[in-house]
Amino acid sequence: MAVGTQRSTANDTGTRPTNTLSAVWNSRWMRRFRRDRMAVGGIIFVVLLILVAVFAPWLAPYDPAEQHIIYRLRGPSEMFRLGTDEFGRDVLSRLIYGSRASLVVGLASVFLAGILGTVIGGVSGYLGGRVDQIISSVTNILMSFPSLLLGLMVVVALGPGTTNVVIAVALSLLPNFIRLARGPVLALREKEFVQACRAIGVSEARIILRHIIPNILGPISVMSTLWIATAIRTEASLSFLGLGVQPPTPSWGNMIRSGVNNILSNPWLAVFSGLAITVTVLAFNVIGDGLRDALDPKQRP
Amino acid sequence: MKAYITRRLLSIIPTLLIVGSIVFFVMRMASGDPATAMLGASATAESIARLREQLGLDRPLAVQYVDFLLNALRGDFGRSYATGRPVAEQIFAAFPDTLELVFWGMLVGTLIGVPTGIIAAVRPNSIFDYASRVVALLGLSMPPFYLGILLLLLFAVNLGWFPVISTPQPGFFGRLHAVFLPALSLGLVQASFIMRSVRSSLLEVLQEDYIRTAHAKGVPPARVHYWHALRNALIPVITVFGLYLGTLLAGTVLTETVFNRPGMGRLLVGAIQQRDYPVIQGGLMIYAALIVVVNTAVDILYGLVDPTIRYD
Repeated sequence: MAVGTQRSTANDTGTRPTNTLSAVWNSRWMRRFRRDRMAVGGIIFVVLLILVAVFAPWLAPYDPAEQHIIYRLRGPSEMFRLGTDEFGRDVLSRLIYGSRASLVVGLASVFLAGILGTVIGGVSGYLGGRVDQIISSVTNILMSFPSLLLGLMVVVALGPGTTNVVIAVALSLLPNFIRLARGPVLALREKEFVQACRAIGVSEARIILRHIIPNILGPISVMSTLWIATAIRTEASLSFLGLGVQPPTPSWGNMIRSGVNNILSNPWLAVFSGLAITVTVLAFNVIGDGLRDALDPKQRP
Repeated sequence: MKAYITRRLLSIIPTLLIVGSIVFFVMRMASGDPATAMLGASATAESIARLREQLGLDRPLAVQYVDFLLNALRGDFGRSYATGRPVAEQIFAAFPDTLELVFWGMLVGTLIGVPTGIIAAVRPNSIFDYASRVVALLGLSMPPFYLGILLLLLFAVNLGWFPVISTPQPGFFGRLHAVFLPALSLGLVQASFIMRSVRSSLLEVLQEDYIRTAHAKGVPPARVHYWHALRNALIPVITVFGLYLGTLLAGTVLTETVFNRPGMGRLLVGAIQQRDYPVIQGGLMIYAALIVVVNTAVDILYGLVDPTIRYD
């Protein structure tokens, strides 16, 4: 056992943690992470955003579908804080409800792709040989499509709609996860500690589970966070092209689409919905960067 | 090494074959019948059946599949359902505009991304490092089309320096004028990605022992940074370059839509909306072929610059 794990789950000198949660909280990387103000800010923003999505009906000043026809395409005012869209619907209320689509697509698709991709990539890299060859070439083929085009293709095949967008975005991220897991595993396979395990007769499954996976969890959790950001962007892009979340369900992507269509009469619509996407994606990116810095102090400037 | 390169080059063929199959079957899975889509909801069953026959849609799927692959091999993707023109002709008409956008976008991205990445890594935690990191983070957090929208609002709608619809005008400067904003919006997003990977890769290399040795034995810092370190730092950057080029290609779909610029992306999105299968298939095949070729080139390059990678 002692041969293995390069990065221990790290509780520090002396202090014995009472449970796993406090062990994580007090671990060295967690303390580094907590000091990273940007990353903590990102976490706070995401938590607030989740609350906004959950409590949308209580927070939104108007029903997101309610049309105030006389007030079409108005800029920000007392009555409509962020203005109205081409049907006279309140932009602020629609942004609040739209957070649901972005979060659901972002989280669900990365979760799906992360689990599938790590398993497939890890096994492929570790086993090598014919299995690896087949999986890698399929991955390469999937990679040969930019994630947006792949997502586009899946959505064209399955039809638009939130569930299909989740599948499309997950599939578009899958090759990334496979490659991410495969690379380090391929390198780790040749490391002395793995060869030592093999020499003393540790089973393949145990080597993968106990010695390889813990070593790649760092990069995978970092990249998962960053890919939530990518997923939200892909959803926005698909919806922007009119192939994602379908109106009347508000999503930031389809709001920006109607914003572009009405850019001359109410530029605010595109600006605000794009801003919502940007800030949310930024929050996830900052968290991801913070995690990377905390988990891999070598890369810190 | 030679055997590896040959094998890699030969692998393009089965890859494209599989891509073609995926594209074909995915497109056929798509709900909705092109004949119905073309004629509209008011069409009679009889006229739809006649059109299906004309388009060859009544033949068995396997026959259509083999037919598609054989024709694709010859660069023949059939005729557009919507316009009746050969798909290849439409693609080749749209291709130069997209290629132009990709070229300028990549140029802007590289020219801004690589030097800023190097400077930021060589002077970590300086004001320059901090500022460029913040800007890069913002750039890659924006949806690729959002920056385009902001540039459009500022320079086309408010200042009127550029047309709102960027149709390329004849002449070098006419083309440059039309491609400027789209390329800038693509390139700046690209620069963010490139800057970050150059920076983190160079930063990592600069901490290696052999760099300290070089400094210790009195090699001038500039030579250490740009000769010893940069060469190794660019290895991982090369691998991501292939990915970035793919992202950039996909980005053109959005950018062309924002700027109303003609090109492959507009063609593809229009075809998707019209269920124009031959155009979708042809367009996706061209995108895929481009990217397969780029990835193969990157793989080979990677093998050449990093002798520690083993291929068997």
